[in-house]
Order: sequence, then structure tokens, then C-alpha cells
Amino acid sequence: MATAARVDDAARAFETLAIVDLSCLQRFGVKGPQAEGVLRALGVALPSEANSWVALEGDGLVARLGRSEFLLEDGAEGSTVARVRGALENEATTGVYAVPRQDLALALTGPPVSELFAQTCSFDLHEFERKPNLTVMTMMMEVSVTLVAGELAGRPGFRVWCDGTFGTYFYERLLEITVELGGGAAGICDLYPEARALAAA
Amino acid sequence: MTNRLPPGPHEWIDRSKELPFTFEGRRYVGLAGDCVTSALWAGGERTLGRSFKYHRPRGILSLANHDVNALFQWGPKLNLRGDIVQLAAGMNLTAVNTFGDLGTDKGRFLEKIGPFLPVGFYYKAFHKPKALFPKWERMFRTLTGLGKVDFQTPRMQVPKRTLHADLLVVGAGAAGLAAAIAAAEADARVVVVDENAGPGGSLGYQRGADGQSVALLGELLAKAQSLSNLELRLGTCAAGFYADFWVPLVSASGLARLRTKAMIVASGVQEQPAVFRNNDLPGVMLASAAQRLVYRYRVKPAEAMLVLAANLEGYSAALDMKANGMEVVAVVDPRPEGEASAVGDAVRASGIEVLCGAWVREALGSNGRLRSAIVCRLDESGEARTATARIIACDGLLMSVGFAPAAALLYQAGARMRYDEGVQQFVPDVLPGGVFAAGRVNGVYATAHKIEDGRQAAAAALDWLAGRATSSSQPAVRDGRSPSHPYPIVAHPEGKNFVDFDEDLQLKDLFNAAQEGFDNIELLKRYSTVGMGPSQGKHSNMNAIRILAKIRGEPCGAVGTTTARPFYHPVPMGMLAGRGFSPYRTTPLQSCHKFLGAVSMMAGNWLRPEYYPQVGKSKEEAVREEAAAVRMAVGLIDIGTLGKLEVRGPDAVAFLERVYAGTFADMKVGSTRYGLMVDETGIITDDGVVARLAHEHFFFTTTTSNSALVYRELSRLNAMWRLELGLVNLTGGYCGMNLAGPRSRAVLARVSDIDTSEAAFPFLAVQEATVAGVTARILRVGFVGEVGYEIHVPADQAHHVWDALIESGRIHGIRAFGVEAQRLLRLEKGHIIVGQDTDGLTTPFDAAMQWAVKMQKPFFVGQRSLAILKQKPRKQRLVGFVRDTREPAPKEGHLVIDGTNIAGRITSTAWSDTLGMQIGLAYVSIPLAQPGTELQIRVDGGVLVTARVAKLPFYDPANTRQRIGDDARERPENESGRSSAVEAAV
Repeated sequence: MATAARVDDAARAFETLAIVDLSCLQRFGVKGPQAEGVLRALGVALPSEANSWVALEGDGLVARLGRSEFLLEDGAEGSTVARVRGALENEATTGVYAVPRQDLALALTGPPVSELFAQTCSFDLHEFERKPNLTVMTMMMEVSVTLVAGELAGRPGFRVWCDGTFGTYFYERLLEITVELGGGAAGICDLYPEARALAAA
Repeated sequence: MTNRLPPGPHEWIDRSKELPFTFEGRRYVGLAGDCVTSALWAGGERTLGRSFKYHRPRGILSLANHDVNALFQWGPKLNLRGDIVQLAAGMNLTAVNTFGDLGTDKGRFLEKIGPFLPVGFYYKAFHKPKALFPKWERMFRTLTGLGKVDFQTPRMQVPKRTLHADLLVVGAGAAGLAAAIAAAEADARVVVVDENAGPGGSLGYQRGADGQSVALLGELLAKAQSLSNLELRLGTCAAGFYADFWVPLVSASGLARLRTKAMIVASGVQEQPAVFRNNDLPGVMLASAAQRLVYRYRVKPAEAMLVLAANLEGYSAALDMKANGMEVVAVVDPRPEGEASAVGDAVRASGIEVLCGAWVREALGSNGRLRSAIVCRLDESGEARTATARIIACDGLLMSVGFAPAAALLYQAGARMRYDEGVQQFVPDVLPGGVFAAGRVNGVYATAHKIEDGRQAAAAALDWLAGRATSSSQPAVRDGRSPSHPYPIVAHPEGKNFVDFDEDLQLKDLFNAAQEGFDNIELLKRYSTVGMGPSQGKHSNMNAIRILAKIRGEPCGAVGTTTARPFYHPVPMGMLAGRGFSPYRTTPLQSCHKFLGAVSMMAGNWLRPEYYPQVGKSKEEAVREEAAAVRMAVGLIDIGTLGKLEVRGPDAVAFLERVYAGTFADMKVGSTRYGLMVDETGIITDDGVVARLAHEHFFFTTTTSNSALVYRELSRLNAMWRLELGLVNLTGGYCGMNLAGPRSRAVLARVSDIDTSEAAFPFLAVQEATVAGVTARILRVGFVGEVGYEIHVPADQAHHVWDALIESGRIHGIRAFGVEAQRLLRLEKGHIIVGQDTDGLTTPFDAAMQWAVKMQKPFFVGQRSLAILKQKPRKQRLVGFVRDTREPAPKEGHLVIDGTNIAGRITSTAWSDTLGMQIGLAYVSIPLAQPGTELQIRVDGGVLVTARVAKLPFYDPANTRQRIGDDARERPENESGRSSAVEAAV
């Protein structure tokens, strides 16, 4: 997938408000009543509660979107998604269903990020202070999104996923507001230098 | 800046920043922190605007953010309230509601004909003769309305925000700050809003010439600023209260929606004017207005002040004026006993003359300025004894006779208010859960009492937040004095004693309205328009209630109040609209369409190629060529917008049997079938193709517009049914494209490993194979009536597959085609589009699609309704129609006429080059539905044209073109790769 590896003004964006397109990271969804058991059998650590997430090795994560639905995303160097995808594609098990994810995946970081959310989303970010590993399914700019808060290469920030068909609209409008707030776009390698190979691919 | 006072504590202005501006063409220089009104008053301007009806000169009344006689226009920005809008350098301001300039406003002649324009005159006159009504209407539209709208004003992209709090405190005065601090100290997340640019409320301006109140304000602010969980938002108005504790916050930067868990209203009170003749002369103002001018902006209200005071606050104002170097010529107090307090003593001790049991009967002025006032003693009935009249020279007259609570939010939240005779004010009686009041709005005036009341409200709010519900409206303690005079109104035979300054309503107008029978407060409001102006009665409703109470001989509590609706202050339309979000979806092929220069259109919320323009050709020609390419060679269309769902599991078949009206249990693996979906009432909601990929594995499509809706509904249904299956939405994960036309097989065969022979891959089959190296689901269906392949691939591979198909089809003359061509092609084939050829009332029987409904199934959604509907006589039916001539062409939505009755309507129509005729679909009454029947269609201009009902499909009724044979059409015919037919079309 073609993606912006580096952006000239990324350093300035990180100082204010940066929006980074991470859509090229590998991700995969699994749902069904047996999903939890199958994923655990594959050695994937899972969040015990619905609407929460845990980290995967290499900056990846597993978000539990409901009682029996999971979103897995690898970091720049992770391999869990490929492993799970391969296992599920090769073996049809009743009660476990693969969910291809072609999301727009963004990272947002910088002090004005709360103002960015105030202008685009009704969710109360304060909830993340109460429960840092919260996974939220909410609306931003009238598009359904999945939202988590966490560290982005050492910076506090947020991850946002939405249906990729809204990607052009969502990215352009969010970037427009980001620029209004003094920020800008950054590339995946500006955030994760180790993602060079991924971006090149 | 002759009227500017020396620097003082807590002033709002920045003397180091001068801001030049103009008003009515004259130059002024204000200071940063000034509002428009304070800057003009500092510059010596006294007439700030003209009144609405009589165009009388008006100055400052309240300086409390609702002075609507001081509205200004600045370029495209109209009706700026001068007492709240911050001054900006370079402002070019003009007054509104004038004809000519402010000084010579031609509209002022209206005052001379005032006697002919009594209250409610517009309800009684101008009705006859009818022919003249448009003239009157034009005249009134010219005379009324404030400000000039510039229709060329570019759209403002004002952000809208969403904020959250545990507790919202409205008002940053003593009570509000005390409440906020107490709540924040208990770890609540507190937002305090105040519509003023600075905090403190009356602490900042009702000082009584001592420093105690500002010292207290300093302490409160320091404490508030030390609490990280307390956010103070100044210049922000809590403009309304909505269900679930949503409160719109309006500030210069836009509108924010605050969701709070509890609210304390400490919004204070609005000072009310005294009613006497010429109480609107510039120079006559509320005492609090003068105090705001003095302490916030350090502007002298006047040189020589007369103070009409019926309370402690008025005496306090007199001390404030004197302490700041102005002469106070006298205090006029209607109370025979005067002010019996330390403040009253201080006034008397300062040498200010105090006239007790007296009233200002009339203000006198010239050239729009106050020059003097006539003061009379009052008799026992409260009327002025004219024999005691005394003229007192003054250029400022301060009114301090009472207050009305700023209780709009409480009313909107559902509070029940009662009139408290002790404070002569409406106060909260019963408050809804989670809503609390504190301070003056609660009838508490003394500073110490307000602080205590604020803390008590905070304690109650914290109990509420902790789930220990409380709903007390009792104040901590009241002062035992009344700050409001029960009837601060004295009649004058010559009138011009204004009750409502927005609408120029005089005392006699309210008496006349009541005399005409409008003696209920709501009726009085509507008939007289009292409280209906831009300030919404903030300075007039309370006096109107007092007047009506007197007329009816009842207490104010029996008269009641009018309804307070949001918004509390005027809000610019641009803020209400805010930054709009209109999400649209694109398929992964959007860049391909851009490369081909596609003209896009919205289909549902999808951006789709309408057609692909050709240089030197019209849209119609381009669409015709695209359609011809599909009929004669091959075309490729992006159908990634279709909803794409997958259902897997042991109950997958049972699920489909329930959600579709057709049968699917007997489908063979590798086959596809049309599916029609209806709702519980039997109305068509969606359709698509269902493909059986494996015994327990189905892939199915929905219409473009309904993909999200259908997935949500199916998820809801299975949440109830609890069938053992997995429903997966692949709409965004997959992308589809339809390769259609007689050469489609050849194009596909070049890039796929699939056996495309009729035997191996027959019509309505589905196969999983590779296309350009990408694993794809290929459905052999024919929406456009030719051999066709729906090719569904993972979204991130779609661009590659599209390019491969285009390249493969190059020698066959492949053309990308858009929605317009597809609509024509499917119409030729008689296929309906759900949503275009159906509406919210269309059943399968109406749409002639009973073939897609299998009533014998045990159950499907809508079956019961359809069983009932089936027994009822049909009223309409979808039919095809044709016309041989091209013009005048019927259009979608045109009506079918039978005699003098409407007998149907057209849902789709187009000219078909292939068929050489106009074709279309229409709902018609049953008697007109027989093939061959002539239809009368009313087209544009009311002309009736004739069409003929025809059997469907119009094109290839035997479906021969959807089957593959050894067809020469599949081979290129010339070097360009185009068929001769396509060549001809091109």
C-alpha cells in the first residue's frame, strides 16, 4: 500500500499536532463465539474485558471490540497478524470468522489533540484517564470510528480506525482541522523509523 | 478620550493598545478590552442607535449584553451588540435601523404619527382593500428589520465543539465562583461560564466605593485558578438547556455543546428600568450600567448624576459615582423612609441630597441628550404630585429600582418558580434533579450570603453526582430586605414612558392591550409584542408582569411568567450552522476514475463516476458511447459501492431464508440467486445477489445506498434470533467491478485462470479464482443485460485488477462506464433500482416482482404483511412504457393522467439508442397496466404526451445475450480493437 513515509514538516507537526497515516500496517479482524479460544490457542494475548485493548509485541495491539470480536494490528515489525490470518484461512472452524480490515488507520498526537477531538467527536476523552486501555467505538465527523489512547513512539496520543471507504473524506477533513490548529501531517517513518521497509513495500 | 477615568483595580481595558475605528464615518480611538459601546461613550458619543418603532435616539440602557438599541453593522456582520462585542482595530461601524445617517435618520418622522400607530395596529388595519396589501407589505418590510444582509458574504466555517463536565456553573460572580471552588475542591470536573469578558459579576462593579468586593474577587479568582479541574470560560454564554443536560455554550469562537452531569445556575439578575416619561433619553441608564462603565472600562457615564434609587444598590451606585469624581446631584428614593442601612448613611454623610418619597416624573433633553429631570413627591397611591415638581439639572440619570432573575436556564430545565414577596422577585420553588441555583437568581443579594449560597449549592450538586439525590431550592439565607420596588412605574399623560425599549412599548400600550381583552401574560406578550424583541424581555418582562398584576388586581405570582426558550441571547446563524460534516465514501478505484477524468455524482453517500467525459462531446454523447461499448464490445464499471456481506455457519441458510423473500435452501454451491428484501410491513427495502460459496458460506450484495443500513438491520435481527452464524461486512474490505459486454469473457480470460466456457462457468454461477494474480470472487450475472462478471477482490488489490482488466480489454475497445450508462442499460433490460423505482410504500406486488417472493416458506420478515396485502385489490403496478418520438421527453416524476385524475408516475426514463425509442418505468393504476394501453403523461409545461405500455424487458427478452456462444462479437473486428458498431458510435 502506498503511504507517506516522511513529510518535510513532520518535526513541526509533532511539536504541535501531528496526524500520521498508519493504514499500511497489517491488521485483521476475528469474530465469533469461538474467536477468543482460537486466538488464545494461537498464543495471542487478549484483553479480558470487552472495549479494551492490550499491546502486541512491536507496537501492535489487540482491541476487543465486543464480547466476541477482535481487531489485531501489528506494529511496523510485528508478525502476529500474518500468523493469525494464515491459521484462520487454512482452517475453517465453526464459530470463528475472519473479518478483513481495510481501514483508514491514523495516529494523532500533540497538545491540541483534545481540541481536535472537541471539534470532531462527542466522546469524553476524560474516560481514558479513568481507564487507559479503553477501546471506544464512537463517531468522528459523523463517521463510525474505533478509538484508543496510548503511547505513540513515546508520545501520548490516540489511534483512530474507520472504514477505508470513508478514508479520503475523513483524512482530508481531519487534516484541514489539524492545520487550522497549527499542526500538520507526518509520515509513518517520522513516527516509526523502523517502518521504512513497510512503507517501501 | 475625554471621558476616560484614571486607571483602577480590575479594569478590563489595556491602556497600552489603542484601537482606531469609525462609527457613522467619524473616527474614534478605543482601547483593547473595550466593547464597542464603551469605546463610543468614551469618545463622547451619546446616541448609539435609533429605536425600532419611533426611531428615537438611544444610548446605553443596561450595558449588560442586551442593549438592543445599540446594534451595529460592520460590513457583512450585522446586528452586533455593542455592549458585548469587543472592539477591534479598523472597525467601520454604522448604526442599524436608520434611513440616512444616525443623526438625521428620516425614520424619526414616525414618532410624529405615533398616535395613529397604537398597540396592535397591524392586526386591525391594512387588510382592505386586498389589492393594496402587497404595497403595505412592501412598506412594512422596508421599515422593519434590523441590519442589512449581504448575500455575498462567504460562508463562515465556524467550528462546533463538544465539551464535557461533571458540573457546569453558569455565572462567575460571587455565588458561582464559590460554588465552583467548593465543587472542584471535592475533585469534580467543573466548568464555569460567564457571558462577560471578565469574571466577578457584581463583585467587580457594584463596589459601593469600598475595596472589599474587589479584594474578595481577587481571592476567589486566585483560588479558582489554582484548581486544575476548574475551567473558567469567559465571554461564553450558556444559551439554553436541553434534555440529558446538554447546554450550548456560545462564544466569539463558536458554539460548543457541553454535556454536564449537574448544573448550578448562578447567573444573577438583570436590573430593571424605572418607567417615567422620556426614560429612554441618552444619559438615562440603569445604575449598574453606569457602574460597569466606570469600573470595567473606566469611562465616565456623565458629569452630573441624578440617581433614582429604591434599594441599597442604588445608593451604592451613588457612592461609586462620587468616589470616581462625578457629581451626584441628588438621590431620589420613592420609599418614604429612604435607605436605612450603612450605605444609606454613607450617602447622606457624603453630602448628597436624598429626596425620599419622590420620583422622577420626566426626563428632559435636547439634541438627543439628557439635560435635566423633573422630580415630584409621590402621593399615598404612588402617583406624582405635580405641584411639588422640581427641575434638577443633570446629564446622567441612573435608575436602580429592582431586578429580575436571569432564570431562563432554570425555566428551560423545568424549574417551578414562585414570586417571593420578600424579595419582590421570582425565585426557584422546585428544581429538577441535578439542577441547582445560587446567588441573586435564588433571591440572595448580600455578598456573604451569596458565597454561602454558592457553597450550599455545590454541596447539593456533589451529593447529586455521588448518587445521593437532593433537590433543594432553599437558599442558604436571604437578606431580609427587598432589592426590588413592587411597582417602579409612574404614569404620565403624555406617554413616552417606555416599558419595552426593544419594541418602543409605552405604559399606555399595555393598558390598552389589557383593555382589549389581552389580559393574560402570554396573550399580552403576543398582542403588544412586549418581550418579543431581540432582548427577549430581559428588561421589560418583569415590569409588564407588574403592570398586568396591577390591572388585574392580583399579585405578580398569579400573573405568572412567559415561556423562556433557547437561545438566551441572539446567536449568529453561522454559529448554529457551524462547520458541516458531510461524509462521503469512495471506492479504492477513485484514483482510476480521477485519471480518466470522471465526472462524479453522489449515490447515497458514495462518490461515484457519473460518466467519463470525452473531448468535444456532450455528456449525453459520452453516456451513449459508454452504453454502446457495453452493448457492442465490453465495458467496466466500479461497483465497489455495493454492500458486500458474508454469512457463514450452520444456520447461514436459515438466516437468509428469514431475511429474504425468496428461497435459498435449494441453491447449489457455486450458484447465485436474486434476493429481494422487505420489511415487516411488506415494503421493498433492498435487493441484491446471493452467492453460495460453500455449503455454509454465502456472499451477498446490497444496494449502494443501503449497505450500512442492511448490515445493521441484519445484525439486529440475528441478535434476536441468536442463530449460529457469523455475519461479516465486507463492504469496505472488498471492492467490486462489473465487466460486461459481449467481449467480457475474452477480456477476463486473458487475465484469469478461470475456465470461462458456458459449461464451466454458466450464467448465474459463482467461482473463486484469480484475476491478475489476485484471488477474486466472480459472479456471472447480468444487471445490464449482457454477458457479465461481477469481480470482487480485496480492496487493496482493486486498483491493480482494474488496471489489468483495462489493459486486457484494450484490444477489444473496453470503456469504463459510469452510473448514467448503467442506469440506461439496466432500464433497457427492465431491471428496477430499489429507491428509484420503489419508494417507502412499494410492495413486491406493486413492483410486479411477486416472482421473487416465496410465500410458501415457513417464515420470512414481512411475510405476514404480504399475505394480508396479497388478498387486497392492487391499486397500482409498475409497467414499462415506450414512445417512438424523442421530444417532448417525459422525465422521472412526471405524472400519468387518466382523464382528470392522476393515474401514476414515472420512476425511470431515458432515450435508448439501442432500441431507437424512449423507454421508461412507471407506476400506473391497474386498468392502465395492460400492455398496449396508451398512457397520457403530463410533461414539462403541462403538455400531455402519449406513451404505450410495453412488456418488460425492452431489450433481449429471451436473454440470449447473457449466454455465451461461439460468437463473432467476442473477437476484435479491426486494428483498433473496436467493433464496427462501436466505431460507428464513436
